Amino acid sequence: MDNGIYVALGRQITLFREMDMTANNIANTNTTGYNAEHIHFNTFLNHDKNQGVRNPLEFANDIRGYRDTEVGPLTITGNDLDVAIKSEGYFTIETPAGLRYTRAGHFERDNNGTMVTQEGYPVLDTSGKPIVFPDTATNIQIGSIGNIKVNGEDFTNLGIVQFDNPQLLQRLDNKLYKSEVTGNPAVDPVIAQGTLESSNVQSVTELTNMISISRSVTETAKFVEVMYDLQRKASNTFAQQQ
Amino acid sequence: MRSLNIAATGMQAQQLYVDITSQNLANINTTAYKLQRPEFSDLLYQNQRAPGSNSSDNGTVLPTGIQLGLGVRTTSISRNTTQGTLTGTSGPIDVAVQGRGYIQVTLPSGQIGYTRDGSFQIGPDGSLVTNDGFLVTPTITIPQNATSISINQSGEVSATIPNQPAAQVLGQMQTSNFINEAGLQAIGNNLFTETTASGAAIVGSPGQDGLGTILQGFLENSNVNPVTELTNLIKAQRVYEMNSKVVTKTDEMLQSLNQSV
Repeated sequence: MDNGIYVALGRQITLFREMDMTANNIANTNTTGYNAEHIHFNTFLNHDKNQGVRNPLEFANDIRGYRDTEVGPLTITGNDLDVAIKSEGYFTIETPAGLRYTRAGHFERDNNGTMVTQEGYPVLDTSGKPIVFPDTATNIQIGSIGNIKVNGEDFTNLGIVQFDNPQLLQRLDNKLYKSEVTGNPAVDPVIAQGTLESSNVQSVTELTNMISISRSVTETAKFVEVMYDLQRKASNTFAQQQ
Repeated sequence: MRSLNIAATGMQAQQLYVDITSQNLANINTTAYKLQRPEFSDLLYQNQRAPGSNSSDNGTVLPTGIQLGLGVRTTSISRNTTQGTLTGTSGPIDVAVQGRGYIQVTLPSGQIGYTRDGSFQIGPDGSLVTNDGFLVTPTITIPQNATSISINQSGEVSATIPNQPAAQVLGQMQTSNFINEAGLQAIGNNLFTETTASGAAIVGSPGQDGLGTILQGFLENSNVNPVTELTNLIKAQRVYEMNSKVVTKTDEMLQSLNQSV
């Protein structure tokens, strides 16, 4: 009978973890290029030793998280170095720790004219080199396939990559992703200049999730209470009979 | 309980979003004001189950793990340096820069400041000054008896002086360009100073080397769009509310746990 309480306890732990994930999605609703994260549950079977497979116990198990990779709504900013990817793909960023990938295209020029992220990491082109604009670059145009034109002349192309399985990307802070495998050049990327991709967090979904998590916690707590009550009654009965 | 702290970071970020939006709205009629926008980033992730770890003895691996994020933070507040619209004032010494470039001003400290606010005045000694009385650099002195002042596109200032048939050239305005305009430091009064992020000023004549031209009798408006700002205000407020709901719900969850013990 004790097992019932353990199953409920296991469920409580996963519920609190799901709540943390929902809270993180809500906190990042206004974060450029943020992708919502959700959790997948499956059951964890534990066979009763005495009775074999006939009486399995099912524990709730949050087996994996998954990232919603749908393109978020686009916001027009008018800045010439704000770029959004309207298709699958990631910008390649060079950091001191190695290559990183991002969908947040809020870039700037640093004091050398290099195209950098808000943290100052260079954005790479298709040949894996930083993009350095000359001092005379007054008119920067980024075409719909990521081709950059400076003062009307072809300059370079943004290095946009895609992955066979984007779910394998590991999340780091500052909207960066890390990959163990190298990305392939993106097939037909669609780029919009002067635009930023907002987060794809769906407020309604997150709020509904939050309410259902909160209700489940209350219900599970009630269940534990009932189980405890049963145990108490049982031990009282035994005590009286002795 | 991470969700309480996560919601707190969310509320702080949205509070800042409201602050920046109100700053933009307050400066909607400020000459040459450039709108600001906060940029948010997600915080570190904790690996609950690392992606790629073994899921069985037969060598199968987890396709993805569980990564729990810890909230949001503000990484930067960037300035949108797009051109503002121009308003005609018919003031002879009101100028607007059309395109890239800042007019240099000598600050009281002797340092050079940069501005796009061209609503100039004439100082006690006849030199061109800003509304705060700071000298426009290089100095342009307008004679007391000058009758009509004209400033051409490339910043050449000339005036007609009684008894002299030809217009007299008084000086040449210069503007500065920066590799990274957004890296300039705002010091208030529509003035900016150079930083390592902006790079050194590239001084030149208006209309040359990519520098914008000078328009006499016009002032540059702020580039704040009230509709966008109001939409941002709603966005910030709603997300703030949602974060406070997370706090309430987490509190309820903890309460129900406590009651059951």
